[in-house]
Amino acid sequence: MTDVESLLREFIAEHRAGGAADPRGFVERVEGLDRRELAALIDAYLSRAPRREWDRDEYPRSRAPELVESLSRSVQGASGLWPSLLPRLRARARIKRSDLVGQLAERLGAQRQRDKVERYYHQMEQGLLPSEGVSDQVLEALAQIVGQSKETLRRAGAAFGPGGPAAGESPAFTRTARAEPSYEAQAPGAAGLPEQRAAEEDQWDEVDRLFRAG
Amino acid sequence: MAHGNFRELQEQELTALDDDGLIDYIRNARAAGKGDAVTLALRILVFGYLSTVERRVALKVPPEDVADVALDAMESAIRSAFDGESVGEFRSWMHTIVNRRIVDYWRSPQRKLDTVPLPEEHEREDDQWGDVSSVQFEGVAVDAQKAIDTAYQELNAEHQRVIDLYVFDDRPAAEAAQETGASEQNVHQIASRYRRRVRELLDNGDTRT
Repeated sequence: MTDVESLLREFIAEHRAGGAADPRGFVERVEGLDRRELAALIDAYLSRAPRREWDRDEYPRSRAPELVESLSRSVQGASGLWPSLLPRLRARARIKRSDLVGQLAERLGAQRQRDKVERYYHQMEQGLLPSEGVSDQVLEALAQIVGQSKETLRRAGAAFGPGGPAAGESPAFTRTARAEPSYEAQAPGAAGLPEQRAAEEDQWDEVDRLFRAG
Repeated sequence: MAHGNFRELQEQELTALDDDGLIDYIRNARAAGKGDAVTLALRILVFGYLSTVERRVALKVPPEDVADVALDAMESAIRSAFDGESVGEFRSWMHTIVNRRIVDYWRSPQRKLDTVPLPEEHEREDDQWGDVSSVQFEGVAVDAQKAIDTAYQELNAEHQRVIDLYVFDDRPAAEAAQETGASEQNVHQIASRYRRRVRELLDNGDTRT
């Protein structure tokens, strides 16, 4: 009969050896009180486990790159945690980005400027749009779509404090924007040439105000 | 370290930093506008803990939601450490956040109907859960950690050290005995008493909320 202590030791050995160490698989090998005890002991062991040693070969095969990419944009960006949070909230709400943008434009009464709303939303997810410029009206609409509170979105946008470079200034953003050149070319906040900027100023409208004037 | 004096570290130097050192480094690299340095340090920190966090979450959350909860917890922990809102050392703070996120998960309105009694309470109701394999884990561990903590807190510092070494660090009893000054037999006894107390707490429900 498998006992809790030997299963715990087996789990620890497998975890330290870099094996799968799937806690569910271990816990399912016992039942009732044994199961609860083993789960609690494994959990306590994991809570005490030291940081895993860096392994640059193993890194791409882990789930870490997904989080690092979005966190990196968050830390260096102007939109706080939105680059991490917004895609996740979208996934949780099981809504495609195009559908979200459509709903957002509708809630903002900007159906005719859906493309502009889409560009701004893209900038929010990329960390390119200063969060303090985004109005409560936008956050309220977004919050209702993804099932989150406006305040949570506001707090997430303020994470990492001020100091992130503005859109287009950071090499990291240049790389990101290059992945989608159409956005880089059209993004109202990322225009490079003075004449482009001037043209944008001329076209400043309600959608710009909603996303950039706070 | 003021960002004007920021010195970019090599990978090997970064891996030698402790967690709080890495957080400081990320903060300073960001202030100095060194994006690549920020990213490398984040890689080391996230890689170092994400799989552990996922395993912890997997004990308490259905498989389909593990990644979401784990990423959320990890991100919150790093954000609050970066903003100076964390308490104590990063690892301990991160695990506190993990616990909170798991509780949040089960308390969220969409899951209210699922957060009902433990599977053991429905042993004869085979259709109680629908997909048993995913939901059982909620009952297994949400508050079981309290049993572990309570039993641990009831020990004196010397016995806690024995538990750390022998139970959670999986060191041989002889080694744990040598490090703590206890006899090998005592190590076994302390561990045995500790586990008995954990089971007692789990069994009589003292630790459930």
